[in-house]
Amino acid sequence: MDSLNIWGSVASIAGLLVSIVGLIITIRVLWRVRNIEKAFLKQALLPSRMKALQGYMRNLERAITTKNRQSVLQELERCRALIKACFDYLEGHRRESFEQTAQALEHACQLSAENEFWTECERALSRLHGVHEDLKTLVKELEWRSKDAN
Amino acid sequence: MPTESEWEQATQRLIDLTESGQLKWEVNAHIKSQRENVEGDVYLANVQGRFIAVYEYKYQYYDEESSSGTSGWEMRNEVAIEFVDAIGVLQYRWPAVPGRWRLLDAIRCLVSGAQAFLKTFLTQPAGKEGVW
Repeated sequence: MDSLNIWGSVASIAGLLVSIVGLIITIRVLWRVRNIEKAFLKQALLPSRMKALQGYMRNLERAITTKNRQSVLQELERCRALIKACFDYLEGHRRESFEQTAQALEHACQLSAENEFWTECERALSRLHGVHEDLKTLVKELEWRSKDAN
Repeated sequence: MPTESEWEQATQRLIDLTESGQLKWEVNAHIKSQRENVEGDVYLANVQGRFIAVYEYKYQYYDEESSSGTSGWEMRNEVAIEFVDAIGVLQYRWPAVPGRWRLLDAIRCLVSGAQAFLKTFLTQPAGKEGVW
């Protein structure tokens, strides 16, 4: 009876160990799949977002030149949404810079005093140029990495 | 700096003066040749010694969800109201106030003679419209 108990306990512990190992393997596989998926999305989405940002920036520039406040607000909001959609694929200093730009755009949208509004819009546009350049660099880096991997 | 609301008031004033026939607008081919993508004519008026030009133009606009093709770029129309000098050089562009399209429409109605046409056309007895 005692030896049966011992073997039973050993079997339980072994089963538990197998389950733990299985769980670890599953987590690692899922983690890897997630990373692959993220890298794939990054490579597929960022170039199109970069192109869209360039388009919205040109719209914004034109709206500022023609002093069209309504269009400026619309383009600022579009740029902000686009930048926010990039957050998940960015890290460290780059992500911080994108977050600050999104905040600057939001701040400009909320200004009601006319002079201050247009000054902040110019500033926001200048920040957007920086973010766009950063995005361009990141897309190039991804292209090189993908070439190296192939 | 003047506020947008002041420019909106000024635009409304131009509309009123145009509709009442107190303001004369002329087609100016010279300014049209100096601007890009102008749709229709450029109209010029002299208001208190200042030349004001009004015209419609096309420009490229980016919209990711654009229905016109896959590039995202499409053409849109806009109205410009400008102070220009005697030879049509841009001096100051008015802010894009909501009344700009109504002003252009009022000018076109006046310059095309649409109002005068309706006046005579609708008062003529039936059968004498001079249709050809």
